[in-house]
Amino acid sequence: MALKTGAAVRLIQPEIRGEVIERRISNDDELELLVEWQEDGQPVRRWIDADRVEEVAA
Amino acid sequence: MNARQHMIDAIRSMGARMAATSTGHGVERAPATARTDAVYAHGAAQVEQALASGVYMADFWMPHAHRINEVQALRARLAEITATSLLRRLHGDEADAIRLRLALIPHELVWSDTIHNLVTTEGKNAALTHLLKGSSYTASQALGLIEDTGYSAVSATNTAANITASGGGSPANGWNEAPSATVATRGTPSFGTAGSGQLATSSAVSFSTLATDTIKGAILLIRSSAGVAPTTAVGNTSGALYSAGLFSGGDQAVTASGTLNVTYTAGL
Repeated sequence: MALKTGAAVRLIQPEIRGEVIERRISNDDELELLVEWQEDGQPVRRWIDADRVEEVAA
Repeated sequence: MNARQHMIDAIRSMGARMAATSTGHGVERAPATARTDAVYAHGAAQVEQALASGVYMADFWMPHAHRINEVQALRARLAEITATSLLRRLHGDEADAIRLRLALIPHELVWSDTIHNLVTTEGKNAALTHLLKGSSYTASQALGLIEDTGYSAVSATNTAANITASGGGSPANGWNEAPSATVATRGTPSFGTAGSGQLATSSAVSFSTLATDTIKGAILLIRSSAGVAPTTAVGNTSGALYSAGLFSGGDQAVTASGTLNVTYTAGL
């Protein structure tokens, strides 16, 4: 059903759940985690600041 | 008639003359009452230029000759215990210890060079799409290397879809990505904080070189306009090719057991 003007909505955001592949200290002395997750069956990796992720049940 | 009225009459008179002459030069006119929307179109003189640019810096390091075997053994063990998710969980502490030990082995700088890249049209389109239209964008990049086999030129028309790493003689992009025999995977860059119109990697992307090869330059892939992320698999065609460039000092050689560190700074 099409949403009407004035309807309250929220943006659909993808949730990223992956595995920590590697850890390192960046040049700014911040702990970074190399996180790998799957998109369309392909592994995608990204270095993420450790304080931007939280541990979840595997 | 006062001075103010004189001025009003003069302006009206000027406007009437301009309207009479400008219609002859193709200027569209519409009665103000017929306009229901406002239209803005920029002219050539009003375009503000933003030049997309980037610089790679690369350093190639080799361990002292008497420790090459040790480096090879440590790398082999690290690859073995990080091959699968289960192995990473079981051997996480050992992997950390091996990485630390590798980092403590002295290396010597063999060569250092810079790359002033070109930003591809595909990369510009993807960047503009996510910058100005993105609502759920998750950054994802991969950094790879260009080798000499089959090389003819890099071009702004190069795309991720045309990437090849097979070492073929006539690659669609005019170059081949360095194969997995040279570096096991592409690197994953991470970026710091943008300032002065520039954004640099927060740490170098580190490649462990596995064989002798001639490297000509580097490439950076980003998420495509359609939202498809690049992967770290060498030769993979997902994502969008953001930039490609050649070493300023010409071709550079790498050999097994070396470490090639590459940083990238993007600018607008």
